[in-house]
Formats: sequence, C-alpha cells, structure tokens
Amino acid sequence: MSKADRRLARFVKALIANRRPPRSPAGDDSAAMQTATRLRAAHPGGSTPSPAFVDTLARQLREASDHEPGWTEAGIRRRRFLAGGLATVAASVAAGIGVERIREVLTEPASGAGSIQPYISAWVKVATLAEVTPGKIKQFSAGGVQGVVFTLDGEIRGLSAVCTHQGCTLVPEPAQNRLVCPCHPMSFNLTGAANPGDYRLNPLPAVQTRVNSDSVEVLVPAWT
Amino acid sequence: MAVPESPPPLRVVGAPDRPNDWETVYQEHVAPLYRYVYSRTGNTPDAEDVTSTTFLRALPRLRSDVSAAEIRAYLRTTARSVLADVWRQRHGTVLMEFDEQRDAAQPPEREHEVDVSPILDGLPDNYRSVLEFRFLRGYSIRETAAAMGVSVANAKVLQLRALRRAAAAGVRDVEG
Repeated sequence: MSKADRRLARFVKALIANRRPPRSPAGDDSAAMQTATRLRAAHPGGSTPSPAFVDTLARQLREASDHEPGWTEAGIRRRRFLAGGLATVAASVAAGIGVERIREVLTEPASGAGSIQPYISAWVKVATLAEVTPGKIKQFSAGGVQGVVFTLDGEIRGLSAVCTHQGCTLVPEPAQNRLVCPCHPMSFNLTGAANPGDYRLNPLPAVQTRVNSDSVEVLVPAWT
Repeated sequence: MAVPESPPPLRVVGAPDRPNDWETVYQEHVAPLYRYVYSRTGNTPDAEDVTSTTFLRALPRLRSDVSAAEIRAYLRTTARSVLADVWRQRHGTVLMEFDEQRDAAQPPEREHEVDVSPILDGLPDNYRSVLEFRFLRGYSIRETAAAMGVSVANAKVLQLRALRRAAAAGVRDVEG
C-alpha cells in the first residue's frame, strides 16, 4: 500500500470506529474522503444527538449567556420557562429528546430555600445524641416533615429529605456525606446544596434543631 | 474554492409574538442542526464539536423576531463555516462541496437522510459490496473479507479503490 493508501485507510478506519479522523493532508483523496464521510453518515443510527450532549451544550450556552456581554444587549434574550410553546414541545418530542429534561436543564432554581418555618410549630424529639454522632445520618418523620438530622462541623443540623426535583424521599449515604435521590441521578450534600449533576435543583430547606438533654428535637408543624 | 465567511448578524423585524429567546431557539434547532452536521462529518465527536461551536457563535448574533426558517439558514451557514475551519486545519483543504441547492431542495424533515444511491449506483458489484459492508453495516475489514470471500489484504485495498472510483464518478457527475 502506498502512503496515500495508508492515509485514506486510516481516515476510513477512524470514521467507522466513530472517531475523529486523524490530522493528515488530503492530497488527491479529498473527494474520496468526502465520499467516505457521506457513506458513513448514511449508516442507520448515529444521526441523533445524545441527551447528554444536548444537556451539556444547554449548560454551556447558559453560562455564555450569563457572562458574555453580547448576549445581554439588544439581541436574543433569556427567559425563564413559564410554559413551553406547543410547537417547541412537538419539535423536541419529534427529535426524541425529553422536553422535561431540556426544560430542567434550562430552568434556573429559585434562590434561597431557607429553613422550614411552620405557622404553628412544636419541638419534637426525633433522635438521641448517640444516633447523630459524626458519620451518622438519622431519618425522621415528624409533623408532616420528612427529614434527616446529623452532625456537621460539630453542630447538629436538620434538613428536609424530600428531593426538590419531584418530591422523592432522599436516601442517606452517611459514608459519602450525602443524600441520594432514588428517582434520578442526583444527590445533595449535607449543607443542603444539590451536587452537580443532570439537573439544577433548589437546595433542601433546613429544619431547625435543638438538643434537649440527650435528645435531638426538630421544629415541625404542630399536629395535635 | 470559495469558503463561506462568518455571516453578518441577522436582524429581521416583525412578528412580535414570536418567542425568540435562545432557549426556544435551542430546543427547536439543536436536533436538526446536529443531524445536518452529522451528515457532513460522519462521526459523533466532530458532530458534537461543530454543533457546539455553531450555537455558541450564532446564538449571540441572532437578533429578535427572526423566523424559524431564517434561523435554520443562519445556523447552517455558520455550521458550514465552522466545518470549513475544521477541515482546513485537519486536512489542509475544504473537503466538502457545499451543495446549497441540495440543502434548499431537501424538506426539513428529510434533511438528515443521506441518499447514497448516487454514490453506489453504477459501481461494479464488488466495489458496491465492499462499501456497503464497511460503511453502511460497519463491518471490520476482517468481517468484510469473510463476507465477500476475499483475503483481508484484498478487502483493505478493495475499499480504497471503491472509494476512489465512487469519488471520481461523483466529480464527473458534478462537472458533467
């Protein structure tokens, strides 16, 4: 095989392996390379963007629109998603991309979840001190609040354990210092912030805690 | 060969009810543009890179109240310019003849369908077979050789000859 043969063979091999063709001068084979590209693009499957790529690019665009001045001048604007237009939904569905997924990636979380402040509240015992020593996470259900208590930086704290995405109850993973959503690949750290992942989520609301002798109490709605 | 320059910002006035925030533009156009780019790159990493660069370059330059067809055309023009840059850097030439007429004639829902019959028709049977096995079915050289009953070395050379013959025929068609 000549040098040109080997070059064209490498080009073909990369295409068929779904890799970037290597850098090499086209020489007399520019039309042959073009033909190879056309043929490969016609193989079944492969012409649909992956959801992960669509998500990642949406994030990049949002970053750019937030930080690059050209975006905020007279041109195209950002908006918060209030309701997707019908045409948009149809187009995305036709493209095989979950509309919900794109919408979630593009939707900004509201800021400042704060702590749960029940209108009529009561302190309820949910754990003993022994159950919240560092490295442990204790789940509780009290006064209609699903939550967890634990020690972080020497302080006993509480968090809602309801995912701010779709309301699934989070599962504690004390070894990783996190709460994991069973519904989607998302987790929260013990400050309540969502760990980076497929969705941008609001932080978890905090639950107020106090220690009463050797009991850990939380402030929850008073259901009498 | 004329290389498309980056197009100037697009500014069209009218249709005030059109929601031309970039999120909507992105949702509507990302999959069609990706398919368009894929049909000209034939591999996922290049298709993703070119699609990303195109949106990052084109979206800030889009002015409000532009029709979907105009946005589509603008994105494609930008994508062609990005593709030309990639090929010039990688292969020292712009590989593709940008077939504007073909693009324009293709209805949007069929734009990603690559019709290979003009490439394959008229080739000798063994050339046609080797291209089908390799490119359309993704067979390895070894599998292709086995399917065609030829040696591995033979299959390797055969695919290159077939490509060059098909390319030469394509060039003749365009010039003829």
